[in-house]
Amino acid sequence: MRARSIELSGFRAFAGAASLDLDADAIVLVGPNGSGKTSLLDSLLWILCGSVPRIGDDADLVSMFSPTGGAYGTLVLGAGDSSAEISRSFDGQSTSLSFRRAGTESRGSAAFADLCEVLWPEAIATGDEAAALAAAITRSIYLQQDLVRQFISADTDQERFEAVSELVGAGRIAEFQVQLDNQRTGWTRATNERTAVVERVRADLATLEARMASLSEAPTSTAEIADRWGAWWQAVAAFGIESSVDLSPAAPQAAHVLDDAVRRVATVRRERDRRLNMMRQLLVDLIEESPIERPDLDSLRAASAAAKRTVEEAQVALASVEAAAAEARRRQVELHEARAELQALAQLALRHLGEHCPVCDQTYDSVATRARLEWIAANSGDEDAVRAPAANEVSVAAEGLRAAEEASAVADQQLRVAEALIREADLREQDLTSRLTSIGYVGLPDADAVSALEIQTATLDREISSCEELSAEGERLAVAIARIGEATQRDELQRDIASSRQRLQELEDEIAKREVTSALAVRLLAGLREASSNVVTSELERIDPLLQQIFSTIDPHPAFRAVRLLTTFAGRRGRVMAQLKDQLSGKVTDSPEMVLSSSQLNGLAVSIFLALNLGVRALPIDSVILDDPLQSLDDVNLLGLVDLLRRIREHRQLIVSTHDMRFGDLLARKLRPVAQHQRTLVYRFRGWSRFGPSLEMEEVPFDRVRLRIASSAA
Amino acid sequence: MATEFLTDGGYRQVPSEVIEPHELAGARVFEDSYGVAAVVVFESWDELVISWPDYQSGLVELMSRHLPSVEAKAWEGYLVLLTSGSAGEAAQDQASAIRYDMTRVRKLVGAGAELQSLSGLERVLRPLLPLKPHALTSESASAVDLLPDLLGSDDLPREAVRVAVDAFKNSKSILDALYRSERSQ
Repeated sequence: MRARSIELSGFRAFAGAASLDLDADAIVLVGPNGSGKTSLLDSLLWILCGSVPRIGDDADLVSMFSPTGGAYGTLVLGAGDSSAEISRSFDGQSTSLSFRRAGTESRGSAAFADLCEVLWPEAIATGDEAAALAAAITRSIYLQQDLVRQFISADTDQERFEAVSELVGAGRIAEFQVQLDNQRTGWTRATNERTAVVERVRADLATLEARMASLSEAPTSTAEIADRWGAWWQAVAAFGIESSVDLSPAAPQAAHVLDDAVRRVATVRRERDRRLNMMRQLLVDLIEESPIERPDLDSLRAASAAAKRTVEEAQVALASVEAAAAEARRRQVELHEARAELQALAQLALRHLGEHCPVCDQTYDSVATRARLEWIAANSGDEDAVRAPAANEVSVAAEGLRAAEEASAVADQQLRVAEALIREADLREQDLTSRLTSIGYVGLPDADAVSALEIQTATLDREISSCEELSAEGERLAVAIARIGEATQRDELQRDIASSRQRLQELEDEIAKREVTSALAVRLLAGLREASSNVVTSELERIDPLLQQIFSTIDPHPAFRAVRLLTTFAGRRGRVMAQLKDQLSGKVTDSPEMVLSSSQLNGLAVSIFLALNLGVRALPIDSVILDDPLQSLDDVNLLGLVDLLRRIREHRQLIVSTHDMRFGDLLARKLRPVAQHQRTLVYRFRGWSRFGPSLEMEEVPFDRVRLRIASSAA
Repeated sequence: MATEFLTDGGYRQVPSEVIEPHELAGARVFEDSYGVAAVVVFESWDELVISWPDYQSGLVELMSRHLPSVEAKAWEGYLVLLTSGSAGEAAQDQASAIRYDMTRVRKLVGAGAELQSLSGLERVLRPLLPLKPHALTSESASAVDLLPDLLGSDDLPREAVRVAVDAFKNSKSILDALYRSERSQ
């Protein structure tokens, strides 16, 4: 792409607004010093990079006569039908940048990022994109008159190397190296993780192989097992167990179904055992235990009642004897009390007995009375006159009662024992009957029951034996099925082992290949360590013929006519020197300033600059900008330069400024369009005022006559 | 050989009948869109020194006959003076004097050992020749693009380096690209 137009205001010499058509492959700026030519060229650098390093940043670039106090510039770059518009402005405080391309616009840092992406992605690797971009433009696009000899005179050998290194994009190689190194580290880590996976797969494989070895190798006849399987299920069906005969013994659930059925057979057997034991016990009870004889309960009850009556009669007799004895004792007590009262009265009368009666005062026989009284007082009377029953009568009556009561108790005891026996007999009969009923026998616990029980126990014995056989066969079938399962497991294990071995092999192959890749990356990294320097050397060697062509065209020195950019290394630091050689004498110098005059050095500097522009295409800007490149070149070299510029315009948009009107005219003539696609513009800077340069644009006419002499032959 | 260089460089040789015998006897004249070059080969340096002014006059006369005066300066004339004869140290000044004589047409001088190689002759003719296209960089030149040629060796195949560079340029994993490349082989 190349410059197509530019608009400026407030930038250095361009105080006012100016708009210039740059859509030409050759543009000549002619005008006296200070008329604004360099400002115009600097504005290209400023718009693209935000600074003109040899002058300064935004604030240093604003025209003192800017009506707004700021600077504005819009540069349109184009190639074919596509174009990009870069606008930069500085309002005295801050800078703004916009980048418009293919209908999309970005601003600020995004705009600069887009600009770098389009112009020079390698700048991103440098860390200071704007400075790197400015340096790249200065080194290969825009040769500023103050910096013409910077490369060969001002720069040191190392600075030249670094400048070329940056220009050829060696930083991109360093970025490549860093990325590769980082990726190799990650790659190694990932490979190590795969190695760990290999160990796990290997361990899993060992486990599978151990499991395989643990499986029995005994052959199993599936047909035979199928027959036994069918027979077994038919047999267990007789016990009410649901048959799974339709299920294949090789089916995955066969073992579970069989195990369940075997448990149910065991349950049946336990139930049969329980019933058998119960029947056997019942039989024992029926056969071995003698029946209880029922006593004559009625006679015992009659005896008991008679005994009770005897007791009652004895009680009555005893009571009668005891009542008579009590009456006699009462009468005796009454007599005793009456005698005691008479004695007391006799004694009292004796004390008070006189001649006369103390009560009636009558006379009486006192002697007789006294005698009588004394007798009374001395005698207690005849209590035995009352007869009481004899003591043995009560004892006899009491003994009779006790004997009657004992006889009654014995009779009652005998009755209770008899009643208990009857109850026991009833209970036993009920128990046997109940037990018989519980086993399904309806009838009395008699001999018939015993016969029936004996038949049933025999049946139960057979069933239990059958259950035992079924259980044993079920266990054997379970083992057989397990073997079928083992056979299935063996097949599955064999597949798993094969799969694991394949996986292991694939992983080992992958790791081996990854290690090959890693080793390749290591070798590449080793090569890259020197690659940046080697690229510089390679690139400079590549452009040597071009530099030689350019230098020969300008031809500034009569003897030192061969030139090359020589690369050397001191340790890992590269150096670049411009080496001149007199091919006739063989003399060589790495210090051109020692053999070239100032103007010749300018010729060499311009040659190197143009070689870098044409040979090291750092930026996709197909332009070469030369700000007053004469720099005291003598006429011969000047003509050589013009010849060269004529050739360069075939490859680059050429923008040349000069303060020399003759040189300007010469350029206009020598760069005239000779083909339809060519266009040459001449801007004549007539003067400068506080509003900016006074500009006139001329378009050099197309020269339609290519050959004037050779074509006249016809 | 000069004829080949010039015709390869876009020049067309002017037919001899166009040139007057007295103008450029023995010279070959070439023309392109920008100018006319007359190549004269002398037997010796001395002859060159003596005769070149005549040839310059002849060239100017030829140009004058075919070009309007207003275009004269636009039509640069080049007089290429060649001799295989040794010039010697003393002739250096003479050659410089001829080259730096800016009257009428520009002079290009080549003599002696300088012309014993094609590159020497090419260097003399260089101001007349276009830049060789092979020396110009390609459109997509990038430093990393140079790496395959730079690093390729028996231990580090050029193709592997190219694969790595392509992956880097396309922001892909370099190691993955190398791995896939290895696998595909």
